[in-house]
Amino acid sequence: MRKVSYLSYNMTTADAANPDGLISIGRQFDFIGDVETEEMILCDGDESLCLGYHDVKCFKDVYVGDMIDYKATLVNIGNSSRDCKIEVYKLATPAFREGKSDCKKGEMIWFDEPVLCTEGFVRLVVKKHLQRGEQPEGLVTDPWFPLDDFPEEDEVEI
Amino acid sequence: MNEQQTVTFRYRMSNRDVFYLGGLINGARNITLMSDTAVRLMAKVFGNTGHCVEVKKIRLYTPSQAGDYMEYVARAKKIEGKKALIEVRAFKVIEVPSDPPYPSSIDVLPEPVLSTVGQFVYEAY
Repeated sequence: MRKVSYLSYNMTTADAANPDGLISIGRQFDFIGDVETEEMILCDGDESLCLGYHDVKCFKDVYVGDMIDYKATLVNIGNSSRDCKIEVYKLATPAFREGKSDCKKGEMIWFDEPVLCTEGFVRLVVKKHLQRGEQPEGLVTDPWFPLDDFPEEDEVEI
Repeated sequence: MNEQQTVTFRYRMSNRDVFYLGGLINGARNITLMSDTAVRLMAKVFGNTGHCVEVKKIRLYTPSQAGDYMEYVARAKKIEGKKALIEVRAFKVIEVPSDPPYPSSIDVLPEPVLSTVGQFVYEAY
């Protein structure tokens, strides 16, 4: 069974909590909730219910323009309780937020290693009668298969 | 394929994304998320988000519903100067069954289903 799930999101002005473009931790929990739910679906075929979070530490702020990945790792399976570690990583950020001067429009810094912004733990529950057993992996293994109605063109002008 | 020139983006469709009755997501929402994926690829390859200057073609295969988990993959098919031809494919990997045994039951698809394919030309600023 796949024990690690990822989701992604590029933060927009619609997600901002203040005029500086800071994203509230609550907005981040929207995505954390989705990624831990995927882990429960893989485990039980059920969306589960979240009982609560603990030891959530916020190391870095998240702002508009940041490109974020959310990760959930299944760490324990009880009779009906499941525990996940949750992590939030920043993959890229607008160059001006890293203090770079004379930035060009749209300039970004893509980090060599994703920056850990938040980590913590969550406990979820799937009642016995809702548990439907381990589910398929849910991964796209070969995305670039040929498509008859979307043919490859040898020379495309751009 | 150069690993540098591909990115993966995964997202769960929610009721915020619903446009039509019955929890149906509009194709444009998928295209928005495909462009978010393309922008990530631009940031990775060019260090610049750039902007879309042409949509070559888009094909919609399978609609999305609220609750579906989607996976978007993007690759740079061609790069010329500051321009890139980017193909993005959207797949549905988890879907809400039409007749679930329990209200919270949800299915991981044994084989992800192709939802949308598009080719875009992006240009770095």
